[in-house]
Amino acid sequence: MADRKLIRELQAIVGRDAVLHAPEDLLVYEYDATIERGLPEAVVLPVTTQQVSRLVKLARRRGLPVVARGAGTGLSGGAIPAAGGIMLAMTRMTRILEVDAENRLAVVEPGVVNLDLSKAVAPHGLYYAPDPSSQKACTLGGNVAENAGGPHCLAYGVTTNHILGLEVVLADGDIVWLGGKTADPPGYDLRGLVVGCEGTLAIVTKIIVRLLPLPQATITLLAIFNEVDQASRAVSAIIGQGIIPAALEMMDKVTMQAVEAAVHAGYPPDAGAVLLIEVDGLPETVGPQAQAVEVICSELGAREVRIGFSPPERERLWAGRKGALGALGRLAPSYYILDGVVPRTKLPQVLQGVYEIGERYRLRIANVFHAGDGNLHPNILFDESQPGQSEQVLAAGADILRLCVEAGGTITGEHGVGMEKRDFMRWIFSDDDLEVMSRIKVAFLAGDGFNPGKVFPTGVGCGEITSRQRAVIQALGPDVYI
Amino acid sequence: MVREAVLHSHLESILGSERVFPREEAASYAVDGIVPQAVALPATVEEVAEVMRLAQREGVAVIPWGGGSAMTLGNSPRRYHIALCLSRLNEVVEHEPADLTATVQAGMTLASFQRHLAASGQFLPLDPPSPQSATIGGILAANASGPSRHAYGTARDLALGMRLVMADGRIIKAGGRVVKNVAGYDMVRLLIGSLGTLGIIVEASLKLAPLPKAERTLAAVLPSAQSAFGGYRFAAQAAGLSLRAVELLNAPAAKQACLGRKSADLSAPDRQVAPLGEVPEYAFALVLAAAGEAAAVERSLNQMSELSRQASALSLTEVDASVQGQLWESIAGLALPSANETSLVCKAAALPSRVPALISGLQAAGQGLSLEPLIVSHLTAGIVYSIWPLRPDGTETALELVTALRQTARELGGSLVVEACPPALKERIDVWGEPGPDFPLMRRIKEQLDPQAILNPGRFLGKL
Repeated sequence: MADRKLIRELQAIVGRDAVLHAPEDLLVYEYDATIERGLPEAVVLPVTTQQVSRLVKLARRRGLPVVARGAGTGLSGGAIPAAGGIMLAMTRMTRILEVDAENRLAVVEPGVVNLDLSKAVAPHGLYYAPDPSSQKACTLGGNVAENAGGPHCLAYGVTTNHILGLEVVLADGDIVWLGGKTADPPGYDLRGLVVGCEGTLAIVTKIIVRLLPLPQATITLLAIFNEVDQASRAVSAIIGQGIIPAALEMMDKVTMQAVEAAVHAGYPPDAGAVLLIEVDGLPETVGPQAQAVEVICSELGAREVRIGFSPPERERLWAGRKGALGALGRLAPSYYILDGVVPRTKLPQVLQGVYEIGERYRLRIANVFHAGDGNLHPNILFDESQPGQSEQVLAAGADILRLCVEAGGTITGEHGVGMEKRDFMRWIFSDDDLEVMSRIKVAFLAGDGFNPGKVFPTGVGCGEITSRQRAVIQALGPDVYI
Repeated sequence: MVREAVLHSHLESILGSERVFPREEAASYAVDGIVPQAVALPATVEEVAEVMRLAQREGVAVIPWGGGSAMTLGNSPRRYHIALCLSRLNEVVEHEPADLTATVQAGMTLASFQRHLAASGQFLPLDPPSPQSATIGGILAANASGPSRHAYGTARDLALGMRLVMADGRIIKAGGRVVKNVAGYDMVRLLIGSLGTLGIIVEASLKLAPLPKAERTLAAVLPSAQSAFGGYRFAAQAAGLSLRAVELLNAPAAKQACLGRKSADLSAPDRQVAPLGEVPEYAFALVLAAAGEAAAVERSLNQMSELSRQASALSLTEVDASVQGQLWESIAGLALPSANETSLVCKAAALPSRVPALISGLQAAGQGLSLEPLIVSHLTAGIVYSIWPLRPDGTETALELVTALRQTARELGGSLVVEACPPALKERIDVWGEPGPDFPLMRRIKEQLDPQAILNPGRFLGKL
């Protein structure tokens, strides 16, 4: 609970209606899409960069940490105030400041919702490519902080490939631009450091994004397989033959059953796995490319490849895919979602290992993921109320991530390290790797001022907060997406 | 500071006498006329680390050296004792074609890496100048790019991970080998373009691309700088097209590209006489490469032809397939400073829509000094190279010119980097331009990662 003086000082900066401090108001801001919880002392809703700067200076003077929050759809605890302090809810900074269609860029505030930007620039024949499944809710500021991905990142790249410049507030309250509208700015790529820093280096207050022209033609395919193994072999065969679809998603039987029960999207619930594939480009080329994909899938044992979906059918398939996580709630009261990445050629063996781990722990695992990128999202289904199950789930999750790392992969492809995976960082980075990384935080003078308790394993970086050592158990909720 | 002979013998104790050259044999490793005390050729990552530990202990300055193809870049070194040549680290570490990724040691040249990948129908879609000598590590350190950036982006879009030797000799890993990875800060992007001032890249994991099934090149000659704007517009409209590169060249640059700089003469009798068509003195050549599926290439060329006619092109020529590879290498090489002439090479960046104004401004600045540049632009990236011949005693002229060019770029909201110039000019300017408000942050990063300033001291922005 914040002291009165602090509240008055905050109000003096942003006005009375932009400071929340009553316990019932704070509760709304203690969560994200994980079940980590953490209460801030106050929530502030700034509308200008100047206000953010003054708030950061005030927090620093008071020795309070600052945590920025977008829509709270994050999947690694990035927006959880792990050590209290002041939360900056960026949801009132929602202006699209500039759309430069000729140069294909836009300048936006961090609270702009991902999909709203694409809608706003669609009349110019443009769109913003990274499309996290939560894109109807998640904010671009949050996307920048976590370096968010999405189904269509296979061909077009993740958030960092689409950010040209950032206006940020540094830990001392200074406002600077990193990068900008023009190409190859001289100097170190500080923009690239802040993208994906999980809110630990700076608070982003303006974003220059690159926009892409809408593809002239898109063909959606649904390749249906009896076995997961066949589907995962088809994935590396497609990439190996030099075809890079716009999207290449996999869903297994458990997931499809849940999705079909929930939204009737058009998936075959009796199949072992499907690949949802999209090719886009010129009308002349998408046809032959779709045909080549179809041939590969058939050769690798697809029992059927559906093609020629009407726009509403396509929309339903994607709604089913993007809503898969929410649908899994029908199967179990709780689930734990992972975000490992493996080289694409290792998909068959790693997926098999994932299911084996499930059997070993007697836990059901549903897989729905960005197969083309090798970015797995195993969801471990369980019942938190059963004594001992949570511990089993955590152990199984750790085994799965260990498997990804041993296959040459990594512990997180798009959700971020956050709180839950920070102690797994040592699996992929040595003490020296992490020590060098922590020097960046020193250079930003960030200390524990911004989002403490994230990214770095306990004992690395500046200071240390008491880690609850509790990995994230996903709560059930309709607003959770992968 | 350690004496030269002592330094030499320390290095010999690490590398043996065959892989250490004394100053007398180091002339070709000079940077801006400064010859190092010794050249070290480590053959393993551990040896690189040992050399750095020695350098840190003795406080001597090290310049990492790849193929030496971009050593004009940057300010003059403040100190320079050891050239650390990475050419012996030249192996492909891992290449699994079906993953479309590869890991390669930093000293491998781009050309030999491409040869290795081509056997699997793949390539690294970066085409900076001098592929025969430019190394993977050097390309990443300089963030070098070429015409293909239109379709594939730059090194920051392609690098997945690195091994680095830091100033204190620690060997660290950044990023990973998989195509998606958000674990920790993105040190890979930080190191790209840092010109060896933060750490030495010894190995890199990279995204690859499948070799296009077909590629064809079209040259449209446009009547004026003004119609080059139309040129930009039609390139922009043609967004959905399967274009690999969109380059705009002024007449002298077009002529130079056809002559071919260090490669065979493209205008030789058995070749097409003028692969780009006749480019009148006042005109510009818009050179487009369409690459991909044959049908997409066909469609792209047809549409570009139609758009060129609408932009009142003076001529439209499809470049003969037998010379197009050479032509593109030659275009990519235009921005290289010539080895035997004094020249000034400037890279200006602005919004793509301002490229025509930028080109006019650059030309006007030259006219005041009776100088005519070669101009070549990565049009859709908004980058304009201007290459200016200088008299050997032309430092004052060059200074005046750079001042005027920077003014032009600034007025258009852009910036200008001097990529090559006589060393005497480097004493008078910062080749990168004036550091901005983000510079204190950059300085702190340098201080954190190289506190003794022994890696390439003085050569980066703000003489870091």
